[in-house]
Amino acid sequence: MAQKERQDIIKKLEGLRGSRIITLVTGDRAVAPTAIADDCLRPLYDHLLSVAKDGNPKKIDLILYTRGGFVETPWKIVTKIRQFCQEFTVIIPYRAHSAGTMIAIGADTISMSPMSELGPIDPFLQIRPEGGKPVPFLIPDLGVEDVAAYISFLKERAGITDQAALTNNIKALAEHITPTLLGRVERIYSHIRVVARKLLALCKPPLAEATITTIIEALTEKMYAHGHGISIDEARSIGLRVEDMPKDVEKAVWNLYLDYENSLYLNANPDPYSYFPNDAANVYEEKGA
Amino acid sequence: MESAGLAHAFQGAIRIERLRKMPTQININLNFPLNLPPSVQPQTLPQEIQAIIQQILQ
Repeated sequence: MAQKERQDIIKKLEGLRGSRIITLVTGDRAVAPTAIADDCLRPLYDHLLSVAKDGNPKKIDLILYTRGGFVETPWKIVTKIRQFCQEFTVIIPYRAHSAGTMIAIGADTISMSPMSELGPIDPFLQIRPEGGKPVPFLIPDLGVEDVAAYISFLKERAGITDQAALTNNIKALAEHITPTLLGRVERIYSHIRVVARKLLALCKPPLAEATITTIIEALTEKMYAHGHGISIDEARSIGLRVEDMPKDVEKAVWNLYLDYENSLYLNANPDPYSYFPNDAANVYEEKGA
Repeated sequence: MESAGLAHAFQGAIRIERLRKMPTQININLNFPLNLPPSVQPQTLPQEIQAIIQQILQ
């Protein structure tokens, strides 16, 4: 399918939903993964100006597929889109994990199908040692919630209540994670909760404060695994404002997703060795990926 | 990123290199089923012949 056909689907969806539509897809092909980051803000502004060229539309829908990205970007995306409309919906054909979930919770409504997935918003610190040399005792990805979970484990599971014993065990943690890194963990731990609360506070009509707290706890610390996929029913059960995607919309959105999947090779074999089916070459090169 | 009148895409290039790690020195042991006729005792063969057989076996 060419860009022209995709744009025809977008126009059809705009007719079905009575809205203006923008799509945002970050490919997760195993050998070339991409992420939500600030580099999408400039093109987003062009799209917002385009959909608002005859005056701000009442409704903007963002069709979103992503495995996540930087925690700073979702707030910027959501607040920019909200400058151009009164109602904001995020439509999820398949995956909107991590930073994608943060964008979704900043919408008034999340439109989901049986295939849609949200994910936990517990962030990971990507550790890049100076000089590129790996530091043996540091894992490359440190889950911010892992540090909090370690202390919960000491207190609740291991039953350590004595202050001296707790101090010794936290000292052991400090041998593996530098104090400055622990400081960053604490800042991100707080930051993600503040941003999630601010995003949820944008919802119209407003969510109850208790609901906001429940959603934040569920998405940051109650899922226990970053890869967990939150279905439409689970999203609804934790208090998110979710709508069932109407069948005609679901079909058109899925066709659009399938084209992105095909164009961006999202289903390509994740094994890098599959790019070398025989011994004829040891280098694989692809331009325009 | 797309909307009804506009499309943006970020593009890049992929290069995957297969690195083969070969051992610096290769040792290969081969066993040949080289049997002398039963009537021939290796010890009775002249030294030069014994050396040639040994070379073949190596």
